[in-house]
Amino acid sequence: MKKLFKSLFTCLLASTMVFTGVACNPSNGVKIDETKSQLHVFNYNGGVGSVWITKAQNDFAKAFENYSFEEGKKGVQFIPENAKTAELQTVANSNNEVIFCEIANYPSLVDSNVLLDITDIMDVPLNEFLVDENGQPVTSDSESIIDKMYEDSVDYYSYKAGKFYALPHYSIFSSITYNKAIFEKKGLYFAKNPGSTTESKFIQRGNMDKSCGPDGVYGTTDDGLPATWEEMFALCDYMLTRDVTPFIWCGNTSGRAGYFNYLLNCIYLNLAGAEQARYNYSFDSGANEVTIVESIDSNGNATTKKEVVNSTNFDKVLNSELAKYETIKIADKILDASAWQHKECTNGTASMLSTQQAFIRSTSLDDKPAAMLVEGSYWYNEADDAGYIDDAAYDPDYYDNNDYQLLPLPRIYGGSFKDIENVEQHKTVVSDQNDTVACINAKVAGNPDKVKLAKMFLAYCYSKEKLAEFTEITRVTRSLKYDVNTANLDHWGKIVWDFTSASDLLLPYSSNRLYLSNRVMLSMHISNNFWNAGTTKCFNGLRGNDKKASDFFNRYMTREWSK
Amino acid sequence: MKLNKKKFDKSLFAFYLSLIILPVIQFVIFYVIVNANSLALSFKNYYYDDANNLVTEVVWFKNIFNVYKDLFTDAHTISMVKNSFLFYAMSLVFGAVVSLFFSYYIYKKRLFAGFYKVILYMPHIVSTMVITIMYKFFCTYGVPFVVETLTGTTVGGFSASIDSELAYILFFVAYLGCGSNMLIYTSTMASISDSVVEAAEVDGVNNIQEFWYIILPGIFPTFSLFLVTGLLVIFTGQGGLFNFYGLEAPDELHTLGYYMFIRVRSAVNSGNYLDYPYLAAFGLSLTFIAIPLIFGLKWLLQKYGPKAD
Repeated sequence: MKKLFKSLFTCLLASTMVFTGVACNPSNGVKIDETKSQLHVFNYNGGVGSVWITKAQNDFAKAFENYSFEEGKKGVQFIPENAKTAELQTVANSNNEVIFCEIANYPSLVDSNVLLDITDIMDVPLNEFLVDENGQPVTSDSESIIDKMYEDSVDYYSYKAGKFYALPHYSIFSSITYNKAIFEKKGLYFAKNPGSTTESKFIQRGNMDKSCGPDGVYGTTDDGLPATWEEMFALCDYMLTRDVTPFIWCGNTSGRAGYFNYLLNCIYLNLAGAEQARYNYSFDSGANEVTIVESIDSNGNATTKKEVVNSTNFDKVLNSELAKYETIKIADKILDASAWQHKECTNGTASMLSTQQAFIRSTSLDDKPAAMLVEGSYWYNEADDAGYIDDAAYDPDYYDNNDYQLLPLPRIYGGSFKDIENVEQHKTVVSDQNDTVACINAKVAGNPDKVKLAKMFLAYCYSKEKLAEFTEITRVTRSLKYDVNTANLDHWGKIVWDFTSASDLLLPYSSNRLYLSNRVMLSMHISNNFWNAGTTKCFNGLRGNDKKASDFFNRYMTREWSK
Repeated sequence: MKLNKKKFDKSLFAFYLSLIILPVIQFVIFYVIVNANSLALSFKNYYYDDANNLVTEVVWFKNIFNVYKDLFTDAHTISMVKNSFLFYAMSLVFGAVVSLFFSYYIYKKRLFAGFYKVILYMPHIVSTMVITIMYKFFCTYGVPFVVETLTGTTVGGFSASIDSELAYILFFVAYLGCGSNMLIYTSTMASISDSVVEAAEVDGVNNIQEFWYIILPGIFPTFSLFLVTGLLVIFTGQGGLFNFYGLEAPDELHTLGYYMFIRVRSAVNSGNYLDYPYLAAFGLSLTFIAIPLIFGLKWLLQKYGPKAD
């Protein structure tokens, strides 16, 4: 009996081990169709959702339903996985074969040999590569993938011996969304012909002509908006007199520094312009000089000079850009002005969704509604997915009181619109910032049929039709050159598309060895260190009226770089 | 007389092997190999060469030297050491000492002992994240409301300033500390012979004398174990910072343990291997400091601590 018990117990233990081995379901609950080839696809569905990939998969399966990817089979069956996980951190152990993801350290992934070389599909016209079993193209796109990529992208993604291992995926950027309806109702626009009093600087009855706005040009959509940061400060003070709270951002103690980085990114990119911001990644300004801070006096005034950026002095110059100091001064002023901040900004238990909801509902719930939301450009998708827009729209006055637009920011610090009147300024700048990639798992390398299928699907998703469809569905743009039929975009999609089209795009990466060695410090992702002085996050370094921008920037100027 | 040799029982051996093989494999992989790898990392450096290849070089003790240099000269590292001692002091005072008094109170079954037992131990039953979120919410809204209602004074909530955040977190650490070892202390106290306690009561000792001369010597081995292992809190303790801030605690509040955790977590999140050697050296360097401290404290407690006899 004892022996029998021991045997049974041993078998139970052994089978427990086996159960753990079969606990994973590699087909994600999908019933395998043996007549078709399978392809595992992962999609990071935060912000862009999964509707776009489902449609792409269905359309691809339909287009190639009679195509034989492997002997004895026709067509393809997709095994999708949609999640908000950093799949690429564990790609070596993943069943997923084609991966659309974000927060990817591309150089590390390449060095780890976990991504498949896709160089051979980069310069093939897609209407020649994507042909069905009858040789008919499934796309009218005669361009190749590389034709659609920006030069900086080509440079970065082929940094390793000219080979490509991934493609840029979607583009999301730091933004400030303003509620235009509040601006309209409260008269929060700068007047073209201001008077001497505070109120008369803004449009009033009988003086409704707006100033030129930050672009310096009259008759454009940014007329009346603050043209300089000093005007923005004046606007914030004026908003308080008009029962409006200027800013709202997520104040959660585990995320506020990151959300504050969105504000910093927006401010800096528009002060510096795309060309100057790019020097942070190219480490070479050629003959162009950058204004840098030499020293800061006790009143916070900077002594400046101009220098070029090159590989020997880049650390000193990039650490002391005047545009960065001005950014930090602006951020410090906003952070110190508690009256300018919605209560969500200091709510340690807020979440990004609760903040979005507070912004959406503030016109109906708050005595002083919030005018400007600091968030990523994808915030509307998240709020919509959570049902906040539909909920708020039950209020009959919702659409009268809410018209969200992306705010074009000032390009200079001091002065007024008079200083830039009829002098065209550089475009607004947006920066691709979430390290998003599309790639193929190197595990498929040993299966030529699977390699072909994976490459064809990946290329299909980069055809002009699918790029446009992605934006139409998700309201998010791609870091590529393509067109969209704006009639197919909804309200927010059109806003994002128009804003991005009118802006310069900064791609914050390069193949420069100095970039690869200092990558984390240069990433503009909210969790990374672009704005840190050593380990001190900018938010923490400025928070509190006793902390000065000059002190923080003095530490920022001593940042160490890997050379 | 010949001894009977035990026959080798194959089925018994198979049974034992099936029990221990998984734990042993796990130990070898996740402890021995992982720590050996970390040890080796301390002596390396990664960099990109001109052809953008990631290269490894052996730098011997350079990383460890840099860590010790930072420990004595870098303002942030010095601040972390101070915070680590502050949080250790809180956990020592409340986790080891005050917890002892609460445990004695509960052991003696005084008024509301059962209530204190539940309230003090509850944070250790309910998820710490849940407790943290509830506490943060209470501090943000509840405390200002209660204080203003009772005293008319307006006070800031949790996020009013870094000082207020530190104060609230220290209170949280203290509250968690009070109940942390309570169950073990009370059960150890319960194991002291009742006859000894009754004899002391007959002799007319008061509660303080009973605690000092009978209870404390009786539980001193347990108490000293907590003191010795608690010393590690200086080097690994996060003070609950991750629960409150994720990866974004203000620099002023960083502890050594929290700093190492967020640096490693950030490196993993961003796939940036370049930071790993310094972080590995950081851990190793603190180990060199921790080992003599822990053994020294253990020797002191054994030599000078009260004995049950």
